[in-house]
Amino acid sequence: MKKNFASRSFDAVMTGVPTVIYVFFILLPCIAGLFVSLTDFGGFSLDLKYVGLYHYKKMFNDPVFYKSVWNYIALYVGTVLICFPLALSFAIILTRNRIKERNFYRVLFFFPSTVPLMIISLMWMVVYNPNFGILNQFLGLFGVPGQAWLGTKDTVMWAIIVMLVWRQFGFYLVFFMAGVNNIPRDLYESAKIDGAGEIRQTFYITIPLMWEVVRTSLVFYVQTACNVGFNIVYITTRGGPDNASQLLSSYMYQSITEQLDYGYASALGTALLVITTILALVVLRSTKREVYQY
Amino acid sequence: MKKTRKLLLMLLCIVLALGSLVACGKQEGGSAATDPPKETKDAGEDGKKDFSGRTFDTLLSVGGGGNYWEPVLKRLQDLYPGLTVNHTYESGAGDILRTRILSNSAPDIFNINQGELPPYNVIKDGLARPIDDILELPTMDGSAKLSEILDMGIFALGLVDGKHYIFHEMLYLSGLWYDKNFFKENDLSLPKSWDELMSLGEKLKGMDTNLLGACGLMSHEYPTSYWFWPMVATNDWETYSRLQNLDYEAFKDEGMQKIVDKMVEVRDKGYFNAGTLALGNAETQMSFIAHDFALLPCGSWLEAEMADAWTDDWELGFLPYSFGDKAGDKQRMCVIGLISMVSKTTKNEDIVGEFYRLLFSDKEAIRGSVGVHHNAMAIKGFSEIAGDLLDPSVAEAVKILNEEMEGINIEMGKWYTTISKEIGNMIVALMGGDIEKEEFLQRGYDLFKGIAEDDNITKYKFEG
Repeated sequence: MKKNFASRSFDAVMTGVPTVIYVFFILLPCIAGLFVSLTDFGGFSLDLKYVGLYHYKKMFNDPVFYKSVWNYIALYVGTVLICFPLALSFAIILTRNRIKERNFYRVLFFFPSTVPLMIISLMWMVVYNPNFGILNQFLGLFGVPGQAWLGTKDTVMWAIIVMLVWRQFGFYLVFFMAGVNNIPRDLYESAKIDGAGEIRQTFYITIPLMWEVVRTSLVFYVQTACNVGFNIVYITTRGGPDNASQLLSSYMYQSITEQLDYGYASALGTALLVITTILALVVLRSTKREVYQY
Repeated sequence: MKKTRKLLLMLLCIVLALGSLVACGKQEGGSAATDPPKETKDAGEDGKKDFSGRTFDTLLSVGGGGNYWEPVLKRLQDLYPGLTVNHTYESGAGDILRTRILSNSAPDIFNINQGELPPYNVIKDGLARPIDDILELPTMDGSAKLSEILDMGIFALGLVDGKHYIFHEMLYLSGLWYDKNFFKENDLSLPKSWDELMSLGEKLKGMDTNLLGACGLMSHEYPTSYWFWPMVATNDWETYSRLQNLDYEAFKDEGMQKIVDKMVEVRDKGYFNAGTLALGNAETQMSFIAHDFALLPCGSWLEAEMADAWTDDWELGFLPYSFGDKAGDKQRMCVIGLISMVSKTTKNEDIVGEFYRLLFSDKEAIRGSVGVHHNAMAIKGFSEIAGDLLDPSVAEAVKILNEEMEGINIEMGKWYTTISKEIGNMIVALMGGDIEKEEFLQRGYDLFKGIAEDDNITKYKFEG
């Protein structure tokens, strides 16, 4: 059927406007960033000097760069390994067992993801405070010596992972609960008649049928880990102690704010773009399964 | 109906898209620098200049000093009726300045946090004009030149190729702070030598408190500029001077080894509060007020910054000692402060000159300004002009600087912006027990060597 002018114009505008916004606010800044990484731009003067691959050479010789890449991957993998199984299990328990108070739990667990990251970070800084923090005081009751959780190389990343899991758990719980709710009840009833218990139902019905939801969440989390991780790290540790919690994004930000080294920061930004893209592709490829229709 | 709705929706999208693009293109603020300047008219009989119909554009960053330009600008307007002042006092002034410079509407003068905008980058990028002609202007009473009443020692920071670029408007005196009452009540005496410091550390340990703590979250500033570098400069001036000139071999020499030995001794004897390495500056200062440790590296903004937090038993004092060897050695403290620069593109040089004449040589303007920031200024005879307006701890630090200690600027931190960050990291790692002396010295050697051998980094010369 031939579309009339108004309909075609509508389609053009609806696709054109987002495309223009995408080009202006995402694509062009990315290209500009790539360009800046090849110059000595200090943030003020447009009298730029071309420095070639100087910033990339510096980056590949910089141990902090490797440390921050490793930390970003560790943060992503660590949080996913704790947060996702936990959120999935709770979603299944709360939804499948029709627990009466599930709405209460849903609100309770979702609450942290509505609180601004600044507040959450400050709150956890009080919890982790080595001199008067709640955690050390609690451990003291059992005779366990306190720690500078955010100030020790061995504990800082774990402390941040705990904060991230606490923040993100409720969000994915709600996401997964919606996924579980969409699975038709009669599939479970048939499985029950065939003698399948709760665990078999979970592994053979629930997880396969909501796999696409989990997969989308994993890809979505690549980007979230970068943003949320940056905020938490920047407020609580500034990448310290001695870069032990430095992420690529926080390192990039520090290169701008503390050193006005826009060229180097742009090179780090390009690396971050490449790494997150690779990570997202790896997650997409490695989690590809047959999609079940129901 | 459906068609109309689609058309309306389409129109809305176009308006939104155009609106966004128009908003992006808008420039911030006025554009005093680009407006053609009007002629300065001499008012005639009293010889006073007439700036009526002109606009003076200023940008001041929000910081510990408060809006201390306001009294000066008010005085300027009182003296020159008809002058319009476009004064911006904002946090994130660095971003505002960036936008305005790139849109060719830079303010006439600007003051940005040194952490937010390294001043040597501004000079290197040619965004500021030299101020030597302004320093040669007469004071308000005409008795001298500005350069003659200013303490030009600190103006060495900002001296490039024989030209001055930076006005040092207010001084922060930084070093180690303590509670006088706590020392009195516990019969503790102020250390004057290394042995006395160690004995103080032992006594404090017996009282279940630490000798020293330092904010780790801002390690590039607090432990680095207010403890480490003054300690280096106090213990071995030659090593300090060599490092300012990027002589990385200094990290292998005895002087530097001895300094790191001292730091390790403080750590290993349990005199350092390692918990503070995980804290921000406000938390560290709260911990200091709670007497978790006795000496805090900080600047003279401390008393005002924590105004609501001091308990009644507190009396803040400045320690006239920077971890030197023996009593009588020259101790050094870090003297930095709020600075301002004149935009390269200003066309209001005459008004800029009047502003600085007032700021540095008009009693009313000085007192108005000090009444806001409560700190000292690099003006000869400052104590007589506005000394009574200082907080007690600041007044004590000024007295100590004048009589007992010597100020240092730590220029290398401003010249090479990676140094403070990395030295801060190294201090945190050393004091937290993650690295030992050898690794500290090797990292320092590598850091300075890397900068010295990088041709893309502009090098400066420290004259001593």
